[in-house]
Amino acid sequence: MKKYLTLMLIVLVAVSLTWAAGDAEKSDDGTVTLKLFHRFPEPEYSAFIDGVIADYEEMNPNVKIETISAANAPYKERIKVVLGSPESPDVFFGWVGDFTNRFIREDLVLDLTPYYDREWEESMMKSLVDPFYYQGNLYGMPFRVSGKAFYYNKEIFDTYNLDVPETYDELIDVCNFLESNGITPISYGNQELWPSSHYIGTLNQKVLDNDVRMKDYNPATGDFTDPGYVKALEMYQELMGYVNEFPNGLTHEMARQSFANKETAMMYLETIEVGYLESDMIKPFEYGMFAFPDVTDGKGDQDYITGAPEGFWVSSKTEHPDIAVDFLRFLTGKDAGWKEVREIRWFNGAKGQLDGGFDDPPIEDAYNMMLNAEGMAFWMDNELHAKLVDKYLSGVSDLTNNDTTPRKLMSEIQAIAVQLQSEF
Amino acid sequence: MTDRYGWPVYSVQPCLIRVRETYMKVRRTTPYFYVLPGLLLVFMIVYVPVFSNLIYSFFRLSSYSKEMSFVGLKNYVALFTDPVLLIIIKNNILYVVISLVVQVGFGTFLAILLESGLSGKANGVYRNVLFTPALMSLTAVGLLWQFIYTPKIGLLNSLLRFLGLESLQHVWLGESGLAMLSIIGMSQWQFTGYITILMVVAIQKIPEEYFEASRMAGANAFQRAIYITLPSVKEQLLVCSIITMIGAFKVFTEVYVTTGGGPGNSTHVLGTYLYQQAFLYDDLGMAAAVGMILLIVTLTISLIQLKMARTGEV
Repeated sequence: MKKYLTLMLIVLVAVSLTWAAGDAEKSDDGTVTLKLFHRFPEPEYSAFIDGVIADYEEMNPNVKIETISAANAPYKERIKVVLGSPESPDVFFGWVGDFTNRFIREDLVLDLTPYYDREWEESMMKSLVDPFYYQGNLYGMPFRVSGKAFYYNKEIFDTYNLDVPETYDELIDVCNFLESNGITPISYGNQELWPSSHYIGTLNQKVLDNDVRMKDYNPATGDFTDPGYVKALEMYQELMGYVNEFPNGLTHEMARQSFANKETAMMYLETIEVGYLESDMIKPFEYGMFAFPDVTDGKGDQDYITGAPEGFWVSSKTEHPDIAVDFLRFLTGKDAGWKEVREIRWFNGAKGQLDGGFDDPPIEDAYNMMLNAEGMAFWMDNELHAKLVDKYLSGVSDLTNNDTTPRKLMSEIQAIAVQLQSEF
Repeated sequence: MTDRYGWPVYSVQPCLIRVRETYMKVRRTTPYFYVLPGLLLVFMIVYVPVFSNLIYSFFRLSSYSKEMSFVGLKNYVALFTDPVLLIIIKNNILYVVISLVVQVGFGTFLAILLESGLSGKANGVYRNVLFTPALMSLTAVGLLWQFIYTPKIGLLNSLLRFLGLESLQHVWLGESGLAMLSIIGMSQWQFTGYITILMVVAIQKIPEEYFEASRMAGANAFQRAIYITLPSVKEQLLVCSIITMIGAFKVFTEVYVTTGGGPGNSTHVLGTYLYQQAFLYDDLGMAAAVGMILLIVTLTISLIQLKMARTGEV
């Protein structure tokens, strides 16, 4: 009897374990459940997404959308794991560049080309959708467009009658002038390493010929031997002479806080940081934006902006591709964009978002800056191969502390590039 | 033949034997059934992953790749030729040495002080104060110390300024030469009290007679600590040393939360390096190889402990 009892217990444990691991979601009433995974857990942003979902669910009563979210860094790690698992989300957030291209290479992303009809195409801004193409096919849609710009404290600039610098040399002059008047020119916090990639990404784009840069950024063909890369790092080093003390000991947020406290005159920020900056300000002050000044002898297109549209993709594993694509279209479409730019001050890639009365000067500036740009240099830490990103980030962090030299760092990067070429 | 109550003995004896036989029969098989679920779980959760980790370390794969490609020992070769490995080994060893000296050495010293009666009625308060940091979550402690170490407004630099020691101010987490020591310092703050409490428990188990006898013989407090307390708790000291050493090799959260391995690669340890390989480089094979190294190191320490524990009887 005891023996049977024990056996039964074992069977019970085994069965319960299998059951617990099994699939729990299935509906009998024909409701389709989609899973959305995004990187905006902050209450105001997730509330906006929830609002869009509620609108969609109201229009489509047979569709239910569940959301999961994680903050920036954990999201980047988790998305890789869940996309590879059977529990893959149907629609997910991602960055353009190699961040998502590697998933496309593994057939994990649904090709949107057959769905992208003329009507849909005409409702979108081409320049913002173009980055979502990979090898001729369209895979994602822009949800939030962000670019880098120098924010400057207008009060300080007015006090000293300073003009917005248009060239890199003028920027250095402005910095020298501010410093001689006892003002720290630029706020900069690089403890988390990624902020440096925005400087280096921009400088590489301005200094190097676009074709050379694109060839080098491709892991299969990159060798990073152009002397422009060393020059870009030298310019970074020069700029480090004008930033606050201890950039490696401060986070980006702490640096932004000191700009908001009027301790510094400028900061290289993203256009989507307007809201964060204003909430950091204890006493609001007037600020403006200007694009990274031209490098006059640079070979790159000086009218480019560093930044990227971030967007949503559909998993190739989804059981309901038609519904998932329809939802994607709604989430990144004009109606959602119209609300988005007014509620959370971000804009997506749909046309006509600012139509019908819009009074938000910084956002308008940012919007026009992005639209007037000749093109975009994407975030370097999303575009480069992960191993190169790591070398660049850790090396530039050493460079910030003067623990290495531009030449030495580039030779290390060249070695990794050669090794990567053999793997592709 | 009857026993003293008049029962015939011969009739009971075979019966007893039969009972014992059936009893023995049941006992031989039943325990395995009881152990089986647990054994199965341990096998599935511990041994299968260790074995598959070993297999993965010979492949190239990512968490989302369709297939994995066999690369032989390439991951191990890449690991041992990576210049970052030297920094990692140096950092892990530094972690071990400082943790042993501070946590075990100073922790034991504190335990002896606590048990010496010097702390009097406040003994309980001291114990709580010392033990509290060990109860806090690693992430919370990491964030707390990140604030303490913040260059301009951080507590540490503010304190140094207040004391007039401006020259000692540093960018604690931002200087390559200091960042690792700053993280190790944070770890000591958190775990010294834990070791102290473990040692207090061991010291309390020493029979009071030893101390009484030594007092009668005229031994002072220092002599009592050296000749009675320490030899009596050497088993516990060994256990604490092993816990500390393994902990120092497995360290991850402290570094991940504060510096993430930077500036440069100056604060990487085996744990963060493994994480970086797996989740930043998408190279699970390499991460598995790092995991195997970590396993070998901690297993060796544990085996030494097992061997010493057997011979280290008090």
